[in-house]
Amino acid sequence: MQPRLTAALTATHLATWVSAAGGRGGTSLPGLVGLRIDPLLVAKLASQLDSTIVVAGTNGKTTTTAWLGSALRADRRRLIHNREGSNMLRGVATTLARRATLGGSLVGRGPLAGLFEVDEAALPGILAQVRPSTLVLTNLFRDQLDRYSELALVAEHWNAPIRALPASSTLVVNADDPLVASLGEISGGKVLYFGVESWPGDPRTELARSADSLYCPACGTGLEFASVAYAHLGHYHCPGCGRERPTADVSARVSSEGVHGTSLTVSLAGQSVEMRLAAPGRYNVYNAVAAIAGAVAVGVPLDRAVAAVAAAKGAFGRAETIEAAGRTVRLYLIKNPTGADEVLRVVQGGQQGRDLLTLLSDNAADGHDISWIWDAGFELLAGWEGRVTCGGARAEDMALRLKYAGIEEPVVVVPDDVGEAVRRALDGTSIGGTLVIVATYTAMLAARDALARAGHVRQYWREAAG
Amino acid sequence: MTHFPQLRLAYLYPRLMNLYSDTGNVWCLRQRCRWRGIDLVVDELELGADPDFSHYDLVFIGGGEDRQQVIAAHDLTRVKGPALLAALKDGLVCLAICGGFQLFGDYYRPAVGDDLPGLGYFRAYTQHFGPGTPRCVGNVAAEGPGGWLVGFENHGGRTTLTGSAPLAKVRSGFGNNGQDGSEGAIEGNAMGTYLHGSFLPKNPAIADDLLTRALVRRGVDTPLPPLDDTAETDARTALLRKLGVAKGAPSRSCVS
Repeated sequence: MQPRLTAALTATHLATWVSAAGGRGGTSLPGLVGLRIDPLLVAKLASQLDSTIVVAGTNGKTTTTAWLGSALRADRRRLIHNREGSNMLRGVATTLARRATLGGSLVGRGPLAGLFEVDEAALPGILAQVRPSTLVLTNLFRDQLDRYSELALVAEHWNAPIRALPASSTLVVNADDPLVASLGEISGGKVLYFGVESWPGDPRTELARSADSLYCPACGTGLEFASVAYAHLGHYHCPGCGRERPTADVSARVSSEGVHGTSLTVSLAGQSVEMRLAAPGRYNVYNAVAAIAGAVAVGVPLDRAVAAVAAAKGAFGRAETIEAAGRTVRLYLIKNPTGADEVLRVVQGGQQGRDLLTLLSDNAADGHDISWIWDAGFELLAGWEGRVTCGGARAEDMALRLKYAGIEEPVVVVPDDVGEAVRRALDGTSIGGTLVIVATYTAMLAARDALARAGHVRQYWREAAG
Repeated sequence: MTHFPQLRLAYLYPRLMNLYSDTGNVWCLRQRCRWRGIDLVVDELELGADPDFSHYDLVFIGGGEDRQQVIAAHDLTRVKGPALLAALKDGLVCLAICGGFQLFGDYYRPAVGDDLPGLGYFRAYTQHFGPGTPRCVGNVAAEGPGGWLVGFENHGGRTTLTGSAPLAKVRSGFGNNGQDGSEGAIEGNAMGTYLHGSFLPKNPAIADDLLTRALVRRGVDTPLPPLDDTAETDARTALLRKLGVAKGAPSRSCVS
C-alpha cells in the first residue's frame, strides 16, 4: 500500500470526474493535481509497464504517435497512449492514472505497453520518470522560441537523458535531420536510423528560408545538401569535417506524390514493402516512416507495420476532412514555419479557388510569439481566388501577413471569437463548396469545438475514449 | 509619376541571422517599394562576402542564436567591418534587430568568457548576466517621436546606451535592459531595436522613414507616395489594445 500514491490517484480520479461533469475533456488538470500530491506518480505507474515507447520532436509527433499506435494495435499489443494531445508530464500522469486502481496498480491482464507523445522541452523531465525501451526522435524545428529560446538548447537538454538510455533500449532517429541524427552517436543504447532515399522528379536543392539546422553539429561549418526533402531535412554532408548523413536502416523511396496522397516503398534489411499513404505532404512521409521505424524497433514485422500505417487515419486536427452543413471542411494544423510551408504547399496545390479560413492565436500552446508567420511561405497563396477570412486572437496580424504575401482581395477579419469566424466563413462558402481551415493549435481546438457544437464532428475526447 | 532611382539593400547573414523571422522586414521593404514602383535590389551577403558598402543605400541585419552570433561577429569585425563602418558614418541607412543590434554596438559581454567585440557603430554595449537572469520575452509597446512602436522581444542580453539616443521609450515590455525604459537606438541614419514580429510590417512609418532617408541621401526630395495602411493600422491597434497602452484606440469589432 502506498498512501501518497493512493491519495494522488484519488484526487486525479476526482478531478477527471469533475472536469467531465463540466463538459470538458480535461487532459492536463487531473495529472497536475495528482503530481502535486505525489511527484513520482508517473514513475510509480510507468514502472509497471512491460515496455514504453516515447515519441518526441517538433513537427508531426501527434500523427507519428497515432500511426505508431495503429501499428502496435495491429500487432495485438495492449496500449496506454496519451492520444488526447496533452504531452507534458501532467498529460502522461493523467493517461496513466486513468488506467490505475486507487491502490496504484495498472488494470488489465497481459503485457501492457506505454506509448507517449512528449513535448520536446518536457522530454528530460519525463525520461527521469519513464525509462523508455524505445525513444523515437522525429525532427527539430524552431517552434515556440518564446518557450525554448534557442534550438540548440533543446538538443543540449536532450543530451544527458539520451546518454543515459539503457543498453537494451533503441533510439530511433531521423537520419535526414542533421541535429537529430547526430544524437544517434551519443545514445547509451542501440540506434535505428530512418530516412527518405529519393523523391520523384528532380531533387530540390534549395533550402527554405525557414530552414533551421544548417550548420554541422560537430564543427559548425555550413552543411551542403545534395537534395532537400523539405526545410532542412535531406541528404547533407559537411565540407568542414566530412560528416555525412548516416545510412538509413528503415528507408523510403517515394514514387509519386500529390494532393491525394503519396506512393512509396519502405525497406528494411533487404525487405521492401510498397504502400499508399492517403495523407498528403512530404512531412507525412516522414511521419509514416518514423512510425514504421518505431514499430519495427519494438518487433512488429515490417509488412504489418506498413499495412497498419497505410490504413490509419490522420490524427486529430491534422489534415482532416469534415462534412459540415453541405460543405466540405478541410482542417490543417500549422504551428511553425516548416510545418506551415508543407501545409501551404498541399493547400495551394489542390485547392486553388476554394474558400480559406486562417486562424492565428497566441495562447501559451500556440506560442506567444507570432513572428514565425513571416518565415512561413504564405506567398504560395498569392492570387488566391476564393474568399479569405482571418480569425483567432491575432487575426489582424494574419490579415497583414496575407496582404504582404500578395493576397490582393480584401480579407474578412473576425478577431477573437473563433466560433464566429468559423460560422461566418462557412456561411460564405456555397453549398457543395470547400472551406480550407488552416489554424494554430488552440484555434484548431476552438474551431473543432464550434463544428462539434453545430453537430458536424464528434468532440475529440469522446473519440479518444471510444 | 515620379521616377525614383533604384535602391540597393545589403541583407547581412540571411541564413545565419534569422532567428525570429527577421527576414519579414526585408520582405516588407521590398513590397512597399514594389507598390510604389521603386526598384529595390536585395543582395544577400553571407560569411566571407566583402562588398564595397558605399554602393549600398540600406543595410539590414537580424538576430541569431548565441553560437551563430559569435560566427557573425568574427566575420563582421574582421571581413566586413571597416568598409561597413565607413559607409554607416557616411549615412548608409540601417536597421539592426536584436542580435544584429547588439553586434553593431561596441561589445557583447557574455556571462562567462571574453568580451565579443562589436562593429562599434552604436554607442552601446550589451551584457549577459547568465542563466540566472531571466530573458526579456514578450510583446512590446514603445513610444517614439513618430508614434507607437509595437513588436515582440526575446533576448537574454541587456543593452546600455552610452552615447546613442534611444529609438523609443518603453511603455509595456522590457526594451534594451528592462531598467531605464529605453528601447533601441538611433545614430545618424541607423536604427537598432529589440522588436521583431516582424518589426517593419507592423511599423510601416519606420519602413517608410528608412526608405525616405535612403532617397534623401540620393538627393531625391520627392515624398514617398502614400499607401493604404489599413491592415497595418488594424494590426497595430489590436496589439496596443491587447497591451492596454493606447488611449482612445477604437474597440475591436468584426470588420469586413
